[in-house]
Amino acid sequence: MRAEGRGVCRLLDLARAGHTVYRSDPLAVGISMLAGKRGRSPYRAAVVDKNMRLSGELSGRRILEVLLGYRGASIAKRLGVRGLLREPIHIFADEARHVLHGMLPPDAVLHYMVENKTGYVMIVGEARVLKGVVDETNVLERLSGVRTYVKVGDTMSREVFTARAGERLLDASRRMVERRVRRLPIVSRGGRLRGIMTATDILCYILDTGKYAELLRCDTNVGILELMEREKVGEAMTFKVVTIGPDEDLGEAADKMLEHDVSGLPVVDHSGRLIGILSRIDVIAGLAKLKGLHTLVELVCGEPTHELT
Amino acid sequence: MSSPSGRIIDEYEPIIGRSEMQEILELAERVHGARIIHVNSTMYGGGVAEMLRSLVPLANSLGLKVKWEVIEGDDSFFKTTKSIHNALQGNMNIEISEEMWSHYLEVNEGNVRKLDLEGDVILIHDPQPLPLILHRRGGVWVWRCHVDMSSPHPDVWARIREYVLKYDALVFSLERYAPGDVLGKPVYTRFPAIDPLSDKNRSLSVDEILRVLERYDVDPDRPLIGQVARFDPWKRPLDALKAYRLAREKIPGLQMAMVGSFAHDDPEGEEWYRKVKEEVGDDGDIHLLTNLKDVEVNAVQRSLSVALQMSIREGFGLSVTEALWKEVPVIARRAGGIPLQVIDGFTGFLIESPEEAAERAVYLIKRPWMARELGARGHDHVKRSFIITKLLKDYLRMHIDLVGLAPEIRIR
Repeated sequence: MRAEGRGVCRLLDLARAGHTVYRSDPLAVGISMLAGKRGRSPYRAAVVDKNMRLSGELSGRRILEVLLGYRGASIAKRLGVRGLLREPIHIFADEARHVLHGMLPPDAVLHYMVENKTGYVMIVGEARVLKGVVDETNVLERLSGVRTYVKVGDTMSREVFTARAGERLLDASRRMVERRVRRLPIVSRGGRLRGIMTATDILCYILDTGKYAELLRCDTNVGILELMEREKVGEAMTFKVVTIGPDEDLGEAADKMLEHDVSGLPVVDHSGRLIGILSRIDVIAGLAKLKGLHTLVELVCGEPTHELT
Repeated sequence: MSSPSGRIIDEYEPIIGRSEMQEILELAERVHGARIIHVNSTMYGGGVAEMLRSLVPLANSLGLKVKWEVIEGDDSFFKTTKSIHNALQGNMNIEISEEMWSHYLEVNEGNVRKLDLEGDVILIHDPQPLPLILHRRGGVWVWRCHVDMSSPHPDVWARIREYVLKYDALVFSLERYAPGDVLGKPVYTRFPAIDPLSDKNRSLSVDEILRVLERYDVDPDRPLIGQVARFDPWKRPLDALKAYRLAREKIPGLQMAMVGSFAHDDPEGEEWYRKVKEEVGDDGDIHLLTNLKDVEVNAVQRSLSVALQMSIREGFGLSVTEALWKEVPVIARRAGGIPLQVIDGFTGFLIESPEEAAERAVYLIKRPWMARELGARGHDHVKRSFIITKLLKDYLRMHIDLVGLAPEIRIR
């Protein structure tokens, strides 16, 4: 099938404004941005100064690392969590890793994303003024309705880190940080999929219904850890999970991700057993690998001239 | 030339801008007076020594108390550590005897008395000084691994891991290098960087460049391609020569520069230099240049039409960064951090084989306008992401994480 209505695009057509936080804002503002609305919060934000000059980036995982004591521990030790949350964001941010100039053509950005398997590129102008971001969603949107003839099973990740619903939230959160993943499928003892928990789910849960206030009352990060130690994964996870089968087309997976606004899909077999996971960048990189980067570039950036077979 | 303020950082302002400089000063304030000790195994040769040569004085001028210590060892120690390095980088044919492991530990133990390891943060670079952790007396210990550890030799990694687990935090050049079985401690990703003001990278006058070319019999009127890398099997120097010879069939008069140095912690260097020399034979258009001064490497890189990097493994690929900074397009394999720097078709070309490298080199040499365009974009790309001040910011943030103070506490 051939997608329609896609014209030749410029880089800024592919980019969007992206979420930003000011570098001098307190960390609490960053947490609110990344976990303010369950299911609708961004995973990453660009950290900028008041002139929109890019200073760094802040992700859900970084916030989780701070709350769990992997980062900023020396400050939390001296000031307690309340003090920590008042500290400026730029101290906890990372240098923005993937920054490209707005004058580059969009196919350069696609090459870069695929080669480095990164789903988030910040686009800047002169003096590092942020112009926008290109992320996997922008690319997937351009692939909407395309049948790729590549099976999900050929490009999914087979190594999946999981959790159980009855497990302590603290243990699962630590696994997420230490394994450097942003989602954990929740499975039964028999390996059947029960739900999913993302970094955003955890942050939203902490912020939900008075727990944030409890967190603010704590004097050290031990308070947060105690809070998370008491809770179970089942309280923070999302039960309604969108899945895909290994034999389905990558285009179908992309459409599902867009329709349900999720960043990844657990891959299950016919009996509901978890066999892999497919992220947005897996779709993009898999398509480039199996059909050629030029095909991806053509689909995303240009007038499609051929049908995939 | 230092700035009127005496702060080295001021000299970078024309490159990084005032606001970036301000950010660095703010971060440095949080760790003012912190005692940081870097330990590695060589003062000269290789990217780590080069980075430390810039980073240490830069951080000191911002109010940190940074020292750089170098461990000493004999030939058999460095032979062992090179084997460990190769095994961690994925060579599965390495065998390290118990005797070699013992000597590795003994040399480290012997160094403890000679080194100042009393600091707030002790940063141990690479596997050579790794076992110093067994003699820790205080401070936060960080292992900074510059090696591509995405598929290490399992037995060697199992031994090394015992020491790694004793560290408080780990730093890798790329996220995928971090092993999956080291859990429970902070892991940082830090891109290495080049110093645009060092002799290796500062701008040079045309006269300076011509003098160096004349010194080494390089004809400035004919095109030159080259690879800057240690003489090491992972860098594939013979592939670089093959690519050159294929390209010369299409571009008669093409010259080649193979630039490498012998670091004293790299016992394989001499052996691979001999292999390369043998392959070069009496070909007068191939310039085998060893142990050049930094400014001479700079001059040679600036006179390249195209830079090659045929390596199959790179910790990051700072030679590529250097070439791009000098507006030279790079043709390279997809090793280490190279795909972060070489955007295929936009700052250079990513290739798989010497044949493909030769084809791309010919393509660019015949189209100087295109080489110029790619080179300019490469310079711009490096300036944005791989400059030493970025690395400095990254380190300052890590020091704040590990031992930093809130300003109000410091004032009290």
